[in-house]
Amino acid sequence: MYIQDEKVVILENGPTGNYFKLIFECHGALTRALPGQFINIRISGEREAFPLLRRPFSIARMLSSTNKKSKRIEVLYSVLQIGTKLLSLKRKGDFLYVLGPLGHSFPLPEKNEETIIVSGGIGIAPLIFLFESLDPQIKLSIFLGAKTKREIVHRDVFKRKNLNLQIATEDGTLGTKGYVTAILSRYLEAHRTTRSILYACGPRAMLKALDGICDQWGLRGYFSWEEKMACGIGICLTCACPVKTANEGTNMVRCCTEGPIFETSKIDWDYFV
Amino acid sequence: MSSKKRKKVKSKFTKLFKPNLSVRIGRLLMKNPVMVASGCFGYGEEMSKFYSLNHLGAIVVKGTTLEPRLGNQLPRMAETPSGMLNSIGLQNVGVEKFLKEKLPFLKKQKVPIVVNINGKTKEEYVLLAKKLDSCDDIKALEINISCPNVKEGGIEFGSSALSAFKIVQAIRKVTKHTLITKLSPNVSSLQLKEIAQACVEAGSEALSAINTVLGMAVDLKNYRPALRSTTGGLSGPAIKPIGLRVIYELHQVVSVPLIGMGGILSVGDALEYLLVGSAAVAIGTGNYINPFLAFEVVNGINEYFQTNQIETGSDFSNRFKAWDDCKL
Ligand SMILES: Cc1cc2nc3c(=O)[nH]c(=O)nc-3n(C[C@H](O)[C@H](O)[C@H](O)COP(=O)(O)OP(=O)(O)OC[C@H]3O[C@@H](n4cnc5c(N)ncnc54)[C@H](O)[C@@H]3O)c2cc1C
Ligand SMILES: Cc1cc2nc3c(=O)[nH]c(=O)nc-3n(C[C@H](O)[C@H](O)[C@H](O)COP(=O)(O)O)c2cc1C
Ligand code: FES
Repeated sequence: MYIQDEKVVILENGPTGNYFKLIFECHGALTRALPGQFINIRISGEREAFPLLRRPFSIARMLSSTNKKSKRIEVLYSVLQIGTKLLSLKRKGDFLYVLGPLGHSFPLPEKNEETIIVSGGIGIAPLIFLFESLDPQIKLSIFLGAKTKREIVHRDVFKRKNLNLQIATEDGTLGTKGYVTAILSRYLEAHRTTRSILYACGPRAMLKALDGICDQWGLRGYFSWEEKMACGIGICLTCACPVKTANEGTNMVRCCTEGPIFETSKIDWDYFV
Repeated sequence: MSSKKRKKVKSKFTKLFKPNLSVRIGRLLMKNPVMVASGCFGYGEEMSKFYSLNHLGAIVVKGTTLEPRLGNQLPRMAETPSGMLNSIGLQNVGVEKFLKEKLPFLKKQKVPIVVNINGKTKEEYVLLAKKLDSCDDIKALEINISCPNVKEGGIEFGSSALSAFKIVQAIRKVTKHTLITKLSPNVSSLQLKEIAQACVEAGSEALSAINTVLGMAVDLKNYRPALRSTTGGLSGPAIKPIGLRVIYELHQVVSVPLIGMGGILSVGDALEYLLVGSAAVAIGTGNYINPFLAFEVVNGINEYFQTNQIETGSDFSNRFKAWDDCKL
């Protein structure tokens, strides 16, 4: 897959709920990005080195542009430390260097496979792009989880016929009070499905719980994995993810290159114990 | 003359002048002095998507060991002011897989390959060197006696002149390849010079420096070290002054070619290393931030030499003056 470091122009960058939304116009390889792939954004200027490393972000939406040959990419991010703080200060018209598209995309559901999407907090980002790329005919359930109402963004995007959309917030300000995994479990108990695929992104603890749920109900689970990344392009090995080998051993693979989408049954969860 | 015309004349003139960028590191001949540092370029394949690897002086591959290694626990990386700490712990596929799966791609390129070798014991270094000896696609071995991220071996060997001498001497006996020894900055200035001299005496035909600087970062929110291994190796612009000082000091005491590295993020940084006495430079962390950096540095050095009418790297380093020799 072709990767480019494209200088892009910011069209929009501002708060949405508790998060930030960044939209920029791109022309090259980025326009061919697939759901689940990510980009590595250089937040420092061209000749500057602060912050030193790029920051990885999922592609939250791929929007059309007024120019037929270009696309608009939307990134949803939470402002945490220095990198995301500086990113949040960028204004319309500013430039950014964006490296991508990087990593593997989500595999699409097979025919007649029921599809389940589960997000936790900002983990919603790659799942919006996935939702918008799915065949509108398939049977689909979406479970959005967050700490509070202001972390449930883009609810209006999840619209289509026969969509089962459920929300859980930890403080109960929106939807059911509690964890998203609880409403998912309840749904599965009521609607035992035979063939389902589950896509998820969110905090590690949520993914761990979802791994148990996938195992219990025999679901194929695909998670968007996060690990600290120095390069994003497969040359530094900082972003290792433990996966099971055929002979029950462990192998460390690169989240940026072999991932960030991993099948949960392949992840060696015991490694983290 | 209008400024446009003047520009034209100048560019015509500079076109006539062709610097000779080639350098010799032991018996390794490179078309230019720009290498990429071990652990910062994988095995080349990923980077070939950005530019043709043939533009580079040489590629140094990830630290290789006899057996495959899974590396250290996570997290293995922490960003620090103008730098990053890593604790990869020499994760690599092992020498057999390297030869079978990684080398075939590399040898198709027209760029010399250097293998960075690591061992827990002297015997492991020797066995590894033996395994690589018959492979003519490899142009040099870089002996890593300076990895701060492994419990056994690594930096232990690079911290005393005697142990460094023994390792290099033992490897020298079993390989025909050009030997480069990679030195650690985590020693005193005096030790550094002694270790360097010992390596050269034992048969190292070149020295490279610096490996990462031992450091630590703290995760204040969770009251613990940022890295799972507590300490790690610092790289990036934060260590450039240390790298320059080390090359400068080594240049005073040994006459073998030096490969300078640590924090190169621009052509200017590379030129500084060349000026203080390194015959070549290696780009590490810089590749992560700008994947085109090494390619840009090759072109940038060429342009700088052209503009400033510098014929070779040694002509350039000869321009370096101590303060006492400067007319004030
Ligand atoms: C594949 C991938 C996709 C991601 N997508 C999104 C997204 O769509 N929206 C979003 O808000 N965040 C996303 N993240 C997390 C995001 O990269 C971090 O929140 C961000 O890098 C933090 O930067 P900082 O400067 O604010 O934090 P700092 O703590 O100052 O960052 C220091 C270093 O740690 C790294 N780091 C810190 N937190 C994380 C983390 N959770 N995961 C990986 N690296 C981290 C940084 O990249 C940087 O190198 C994604 C991470 C990965 C790996
Ligand atoms: C992630 C990472 C992995 C590294 N792995 C190796 C290695 O396997 N062997 C080695 O000799 N040096 C290794 N190094 C050190 C670099 O080759 C180089 O000496 C050092 O990073 C300083 O250069 P820089 O500041 O340009 O990165 C590694 C550095 C980094 C950042
Ligand atoms: S981030 Fe460098 S290998 Fe994945």
